[in-house]
Amino acid sequence: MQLPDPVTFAIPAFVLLILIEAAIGRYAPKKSNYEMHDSAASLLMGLGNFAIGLVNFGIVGAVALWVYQYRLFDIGYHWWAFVLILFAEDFVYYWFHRLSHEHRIWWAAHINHHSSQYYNLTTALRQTWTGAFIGTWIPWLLLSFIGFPLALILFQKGISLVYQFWIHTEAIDRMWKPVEAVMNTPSHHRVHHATNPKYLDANYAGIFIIWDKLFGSFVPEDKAEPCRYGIVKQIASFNPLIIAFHEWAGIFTDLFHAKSPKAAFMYVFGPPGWSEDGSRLTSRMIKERERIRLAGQTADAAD
Amino acid sequence: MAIDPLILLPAAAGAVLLLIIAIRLIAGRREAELAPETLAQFLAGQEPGEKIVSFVISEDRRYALVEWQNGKGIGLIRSFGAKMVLQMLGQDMLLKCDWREGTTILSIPRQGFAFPPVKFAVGEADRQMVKDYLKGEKDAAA
Repeated sequence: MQLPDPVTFAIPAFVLLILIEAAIGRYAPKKSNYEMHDSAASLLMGLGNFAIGLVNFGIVGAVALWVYQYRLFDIGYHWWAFVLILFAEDFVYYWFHRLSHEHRIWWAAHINHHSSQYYNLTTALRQTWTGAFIGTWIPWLLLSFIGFPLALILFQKGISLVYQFWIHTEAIDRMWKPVEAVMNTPSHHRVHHATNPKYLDANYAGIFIIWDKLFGSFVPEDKAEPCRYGIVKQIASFNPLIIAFHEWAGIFTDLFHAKSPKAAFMYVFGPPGWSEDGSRLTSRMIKERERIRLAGQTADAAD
Repeated sequence: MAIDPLILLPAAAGAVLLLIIAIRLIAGRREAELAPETLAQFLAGQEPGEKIVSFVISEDRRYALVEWQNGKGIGLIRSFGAKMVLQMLGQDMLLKCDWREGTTILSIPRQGFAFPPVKFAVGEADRQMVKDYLKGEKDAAA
């Protein structure tokens, strides 16, 4: 069965919405913030991701079809298969995304998506160039093994990507409560892109925020603490090559200087920010430092 | 209907180029200018609770050097589009900095992959302060 590619159909809407959002920013800067160099970097990252995807697709597709031979069930294209894969693919996405933040080797491929200090619709297109080479597609093989046909998986991946486009915006405030309770929204995803300590490593959801609520990674947006976007150690370059490869360069430098095999292992597979001498901070350490600082402030206020 | 990638890719590249031009026309030119207030506001978010001892802003207002009370090194803040980026200059980096054109420009070399070199134009009134930053760190290194 042939299914349409949702992304191809959505591209004109992507372009139109970006132009509308940029125009909103001209009159309401708090609602949207655009800078040409930043947007150019994001769009070129998206273009590069698209080109690399064309090359990689054959390999990834072949592996998925190989796994599909050993499938547990014959799910096919029944109407309920479309409902089932909506949740199954989103569950896989949640874990792929969470692992991408918790282990440096996948973080090196995902960091580019977070490297912008701006948060607008072009940020959604700031996609990875290196993910496919280090197997970030492996979690989706679970769906082939369960028995979802490849075309259905690709269709749902496209739906997820299109869904996640519109949530990269400051132009939409909190939505209707039932929507915020179940769906990933601009408010939830702003938190995910924020570097404020209380927001780090939160809201990994793709379409449904329920996974974060279920697995303890949900943090609501707090109006008293506006999001500061980007990465903990911001980079000073709009060059797509540097955006795509700077964390890889960091890994190789650390490996070169590692003093033990355990340290070498941790520099690749440990949490981002881990270092042998503790001179750098992981998200957990940043959160702990902030907790101590706030506790000190409260104690000072009580005195 | 599948579109040939040889047509698709150049078309996509062309569309991206047009979109970039449109964003430039709509958003205008954006460049943060460093001032004491914006610097303080930025650092309150970046290094909350850390007390600033002194700072020097470059003559073109694109860069600033900051010294904290805790003696953890000197920070270089650079204007980056409409935003700012903080980079810590440890002893090793400060040892590599050198003066150009007498003592009017401090040359700060590239740090790693993501921080390009900087030509920091120092005003006459601030020259001694910058020398002290460098000297302090060099003394600490010694």
